[in-house]
Amino acid sequence: MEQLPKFKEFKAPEGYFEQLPDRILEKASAKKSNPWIKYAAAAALILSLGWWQLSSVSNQNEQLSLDEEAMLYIESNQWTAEDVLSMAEDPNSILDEIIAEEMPEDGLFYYEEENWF
Amino acid sequence: MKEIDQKILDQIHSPFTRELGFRLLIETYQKKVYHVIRRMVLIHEDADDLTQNTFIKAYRYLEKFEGNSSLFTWLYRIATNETLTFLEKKKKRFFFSIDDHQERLESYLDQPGNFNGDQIQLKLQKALLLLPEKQRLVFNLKHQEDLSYEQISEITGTSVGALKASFHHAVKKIEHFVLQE
Repeated sequence: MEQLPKFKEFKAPEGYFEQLPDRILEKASAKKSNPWIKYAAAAALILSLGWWQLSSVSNQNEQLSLDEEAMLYIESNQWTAEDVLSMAEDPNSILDEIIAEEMPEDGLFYYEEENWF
Repeated sequence: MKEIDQKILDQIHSPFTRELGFRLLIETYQKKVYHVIRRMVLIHEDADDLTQNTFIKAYRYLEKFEGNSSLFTWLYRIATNETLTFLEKKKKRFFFSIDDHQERLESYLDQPGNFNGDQIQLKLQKALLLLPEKQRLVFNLKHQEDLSYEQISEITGTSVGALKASFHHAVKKIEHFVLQE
């Protein structure tokens, strides 16, 4: 075990650690000082969803048939999960949502799992 | 408790000096936290995000810190938890065939300018990538950081016996990889 040398450290960009405390403090205080932003965002989302619902009533029949057609493609294995994702505007956010649902709440507790050996 | 930790906690517990205490916490431990994360994720931008998240979480939970462990162990616990969760997410994404994170890391090492070690160091880094994440973490904490098994046990919540075995396996695998090539 003594034969293995120490591994060379990766270098951080020049000046990185001088700026980091300010960047973190700015983020931390922004998160803390504006809790109402969450509620404002939620209200805006509800309003925009309501508007979208109202404006899409006229297109409902067309929309339903498109959804049905998409389901048909998926159920008949013409489209795979990758196909559906590749058609999405932002596949990364969809993946993040799926993963967030599957992963347990993040906290400070470390769960012992496999793969230690 | 270390004198600096006590000073940080005293400042954080007073509403008038809370921000000052938090700044001192970051300035004291940012390099250690960044490097422990960077060794696992390799890419600076990822390490930067995770380092920031680690300190923001620490900021949120510091009032609940009871001082049963050192601040450094506690921060490492958050940092390693964040890092393993991040790597786990990347691995899950691989099942959708969009992003092979392992390949991305290997090619990151090969790109000029990202890693300025010699050929032996490059080989060692690539050998490290072959280990499961948690084993890589144990190896880094023991071999690079020179932490005791007791400290690593506190950080990872794993028994000393399991950690010893994990480290032993890691060393054997790295040696095998390096000698094989």
